Amino acid sequence: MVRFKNRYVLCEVVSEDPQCRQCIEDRAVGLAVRDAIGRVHGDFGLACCSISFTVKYLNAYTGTVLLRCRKDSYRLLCSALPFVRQLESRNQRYPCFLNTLHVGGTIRTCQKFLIEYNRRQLLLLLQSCTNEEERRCVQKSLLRCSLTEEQCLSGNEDDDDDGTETD
Amino acid sequence: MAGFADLNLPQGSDKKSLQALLETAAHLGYSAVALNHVIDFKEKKQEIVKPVSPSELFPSLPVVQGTSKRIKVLTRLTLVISDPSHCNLLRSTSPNIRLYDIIAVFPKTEKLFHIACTTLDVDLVCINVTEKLPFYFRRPPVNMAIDRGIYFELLYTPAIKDSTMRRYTISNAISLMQICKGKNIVISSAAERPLELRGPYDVANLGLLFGLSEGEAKAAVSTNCRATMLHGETRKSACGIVYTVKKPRKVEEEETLPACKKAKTQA
Amino acid sequence: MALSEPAAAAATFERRVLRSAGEHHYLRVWLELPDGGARPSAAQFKQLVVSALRELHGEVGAALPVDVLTYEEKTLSAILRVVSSGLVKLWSALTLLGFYQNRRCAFRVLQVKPCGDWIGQQ
Repeated sequence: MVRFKNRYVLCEVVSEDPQCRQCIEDRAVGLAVRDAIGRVHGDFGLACCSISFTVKYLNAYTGTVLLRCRKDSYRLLCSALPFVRQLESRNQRYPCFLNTLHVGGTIRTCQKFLIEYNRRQLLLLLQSCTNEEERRCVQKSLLRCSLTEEQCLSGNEDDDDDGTETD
Repeated sequence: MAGFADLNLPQGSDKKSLQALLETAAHLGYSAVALNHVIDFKEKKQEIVKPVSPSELFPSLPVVQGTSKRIKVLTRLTLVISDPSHCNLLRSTSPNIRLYDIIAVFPKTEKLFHIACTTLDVDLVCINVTEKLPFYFRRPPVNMAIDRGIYFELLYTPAIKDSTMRRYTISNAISLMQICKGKNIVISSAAERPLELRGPYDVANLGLLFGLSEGEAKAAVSTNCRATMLHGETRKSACGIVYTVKKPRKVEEEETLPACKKAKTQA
Repeated sequence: MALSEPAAAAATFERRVLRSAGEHHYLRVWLELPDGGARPSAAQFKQLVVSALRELHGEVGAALPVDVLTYEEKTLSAILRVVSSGLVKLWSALTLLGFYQNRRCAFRVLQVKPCGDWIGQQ
């Protein structure tokens, strides 16, 4: 079956400023990544990467971003990610950087990786819990952390759990 | 080996600048060029005029560098169509259209692209390089166009002028390559000044940038252009009937057909 | 490096394999700048080449090791040397360059060769 092959790059936004989290939205991240590709690889790189480039998934609480691009140009994208220096939105600039976690061929592989990664993060969080209340919250989240049937079919939305209470 | 050709030199009104363009093209090594007359139906109704004969415009043609032959000048008509009713002009046997050597069409919507690739009687389909493609290329019409012997044209002069155009040119070209796998591509300039022309090997190198292989890139400036010119010639020899001919051998068989038909009707 | 392979007959054949000849490509170029303005100096010429690379290929392109081996300001012709892996990048950047200091110009690539033993011959 002849179809276009894509690559999905999973990365997380790391920043010292906690207010950076509110700046994480798909338009700001997309612009920052495209700007970095334009700087590092010029017009050619920008043209190659923007053929099928989108921000597929974004989680502002954990700072997880899933980017998609064509298989032929994913190397250009990955090599330009370390050059993202700041995120800008609503005239606010926050210095940050992108840490590449995983590159996969489908959204499912990235989803599986993300669940495992979040589980490890929660375990680390568990060890650094200071009181019983927090410990119970984190343990509850850990138990919920798995790929259920409905989540498999729905695709890529809301499959990772975080330490804070969101419901 | 087929000589190099540049199939898109906009036909401005200034004779002197055209002469300068021709001289530069000959100096760079192009054996054939096509003077392009663009008709855009969005503007007020335009009539298709008879093509100006090159021998009238240029009393003496410059000699191609590296050979002793003079540069060949063809006439080309490009129709910019944004509405299905504009295609009727091609279907009707307007006498003036037949006089042009090459006919190209510039579809603006996906439906028109499909129509141009599958049914219209043209030699070239122009691909938009100055703006983001409003539609994605699909495999079935592109494959059908390749089977019919229609070539896809990419322009490179907008990429020289502006950074944003450069991005759109490369982006659209790479999208096309991924669908057509490098077949049936013609790269030409749309140079209005001699300085906007580039040599044939430089243009072939641009093809490498778009993702063509070395052989395909060189063919985009030479062999494919010659095939397009021959495709246009078959339209002249077979009056009113459309054949897609890629191999030059068939042209001779083609030209004897009308004679046979004549014999049959007389008998 | 030379490898000798004596044939069965009286003549001996010698096959020379030059290992290091594939590293660089040499381009003979000419900058066409028809208006009568000031011609770029050698340093400005190199800067023009690097800025063309930076526009088309970004910082990675600008960092390509390109050397201007010879440059004649009077005729605006030069010989450039580039690593073979960067030939397509450099050539395409020169082709798509249209302006020098807001003046229209064009780079004409006259010759491309993988070895440089013709430098100095005109």
